[in-house]
Amino acid sequence: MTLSIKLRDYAGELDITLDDLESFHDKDHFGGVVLSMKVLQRAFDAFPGTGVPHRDEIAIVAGLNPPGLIDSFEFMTRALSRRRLVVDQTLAHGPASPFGRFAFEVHRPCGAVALWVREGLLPGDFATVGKKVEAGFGTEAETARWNGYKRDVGVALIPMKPEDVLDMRLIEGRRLVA
Amino acid sequence: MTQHVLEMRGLKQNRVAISYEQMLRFHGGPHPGGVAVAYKVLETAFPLVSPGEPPERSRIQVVVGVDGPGVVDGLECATRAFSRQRAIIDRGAKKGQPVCGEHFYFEVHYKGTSVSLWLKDGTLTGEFLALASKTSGGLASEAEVARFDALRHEMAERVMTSPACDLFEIGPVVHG
Repeated sequence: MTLSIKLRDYAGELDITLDDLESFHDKDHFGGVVLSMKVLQRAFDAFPGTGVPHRDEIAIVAGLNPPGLIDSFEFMTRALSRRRLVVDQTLAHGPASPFGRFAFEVHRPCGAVALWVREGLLPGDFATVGKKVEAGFGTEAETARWNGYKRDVGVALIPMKPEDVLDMRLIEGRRLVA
Repeated sequence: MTQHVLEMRGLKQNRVAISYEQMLRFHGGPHPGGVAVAYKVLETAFPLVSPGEPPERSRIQVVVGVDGPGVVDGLECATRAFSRQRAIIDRGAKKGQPVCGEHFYFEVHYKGTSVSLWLKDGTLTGEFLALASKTSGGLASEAEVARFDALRHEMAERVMTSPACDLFEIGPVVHG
């Protein structure tokens, strides 16, 4: 299954694929790569009829900063280099990861939404094993398990509908002034 | 249609292939010519600094004399050198076609081997450079924007279809 998402920029409409994100990031944190696209797809679906979003009209708050996720948000929206991406590890919703919580806000001129990964989608020891391995304290078995999680979670997310991956609520009264 | 792809090796020695089209999508902006120059710089330099095998992406370092968004985005998309602190902007570079006081000068370093390249004078026309400045500064008229839109695609096409020796002066390969 090929995942892709449409965005606009100065050059016009851009059809960005999962392959683009994977090549840019270099495979290591594949779960975050796939999740980033699900986050934006879910957020864009919240405002139907608003057309293809322009990169410069998207601001992201992320509750965590793993490399695959951040690299992929950057490729899709350029929010990191254009200073519209904030990492806020105080966001409280969503399951834990070694890098914060799986919680997000996506702000557009037409409105803003909060999203978080549904409970039960990740292995029970995802955060604890990941934290240990990322800190360099993982055993060989834990490192292998963590590397498997990073890949397997992404593979499992690919065929899932964004609404099955993420809960969402509207953030009343907030919208991006682009 | 020629497929323009830069081949590298990733963190786990996996194949990393970045196409010119992917570099353009990452950039998304009004400077496809800069993206094309970035592509040609890497395409020219890779076999010189890493003969016989694709370079490891994480070991590629670049020095640039110009930091236009097309050039920077193109190099970043392919090598991640800017976000991963392996790029230096050398505003003192004096070789290469000058643009607003900066020069289209590049060095690509890889595991102690390096090569320098600089854009030959005349590659970018005066009209193109003037309109690029006006457009990015928001000062261009509608007619000028339309003219620039045509020129920027022409320029990118010309760079991508030209052999490296027509675009660049290429310095000697230096082994550290």
